[in-house]
Amino acid sequence: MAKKIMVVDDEESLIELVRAILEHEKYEVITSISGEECLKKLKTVKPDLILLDMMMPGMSGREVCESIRQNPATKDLKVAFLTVAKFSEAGKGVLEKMNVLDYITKPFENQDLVKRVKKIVG
Amino acid sequence: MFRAADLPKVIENSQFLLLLLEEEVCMDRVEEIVKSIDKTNNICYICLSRPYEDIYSDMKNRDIDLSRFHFLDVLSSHYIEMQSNENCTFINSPANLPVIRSEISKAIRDKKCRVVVFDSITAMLEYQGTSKIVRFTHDLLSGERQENKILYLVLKHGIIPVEENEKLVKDLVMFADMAIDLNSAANNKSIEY
Repeated sequence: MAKKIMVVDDEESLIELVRAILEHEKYEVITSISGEECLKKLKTVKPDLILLDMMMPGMSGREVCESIRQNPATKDLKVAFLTVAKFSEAGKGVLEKMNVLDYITKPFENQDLVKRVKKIVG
Repeated sequence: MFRAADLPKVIENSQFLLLLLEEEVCMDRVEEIVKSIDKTNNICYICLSRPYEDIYSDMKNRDIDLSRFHFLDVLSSHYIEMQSNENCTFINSPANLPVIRSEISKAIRDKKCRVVVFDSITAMLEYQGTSKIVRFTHDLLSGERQENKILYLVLKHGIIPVEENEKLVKDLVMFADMAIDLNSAANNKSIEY
């Protein structure tokens, strides 16, 4: 069965790009254009990996990740950030505390994205 | 373990700091902060909580060297038309982030400001949502050179709901070198945030 990757980003063009790249690698891709939509979908879908943008209108990626970790039903889901944001060392410490497995900066190389996703989910 | 006496060194070695303080002692803390900034650095001071004239007057009464300052006042023009002068640029609205950004760049370039102080970032929540402030901050940090410093004053209590203020601080911490509670530091207690 194909591994499921949820991509959460307010930029539709980015979502479609990531979808194309990951579907080419035979992943099943679920998309959300906001943190709120992501949390709603997580009530019925359990992805193998959530790729989160940091800076979104409404809930930030950090806030979404915090909610995921606070919910017993989702707390063990794998999360990585896919974002233009450059985190400080303090920020990276926060990511580590939230058990974020990786942060991939945009713009990214397609093959690098694939390699890092594969490293997490296989 | 952070101590109040560490503030000059922390400012010198950081690009972006969150400085948390209580509104009632804001000017005491502002005085400490300004005196902790290297005297060779000019300061772009953004007036978001109180108008330029009030802040200028308070600083003058505290014998702060105002020749190092260039002020950006985003409040006064809301009420009456203000003419920018040598010391202060008046911006027509605190919601006008592109103009604020542009004037900061001008202050850095033309007035040789090396430190930008937002007094206070909490006040900006009255005009902008958290996500816009976070994005503005990220763009500002990405656009400015490492040796330029951004200091955000964060009021711990005020008219902004605590949850909203906390959410903003938690998001900004992702980009900050440090978040320092100045009240704890002033009491020489170690701080953690």
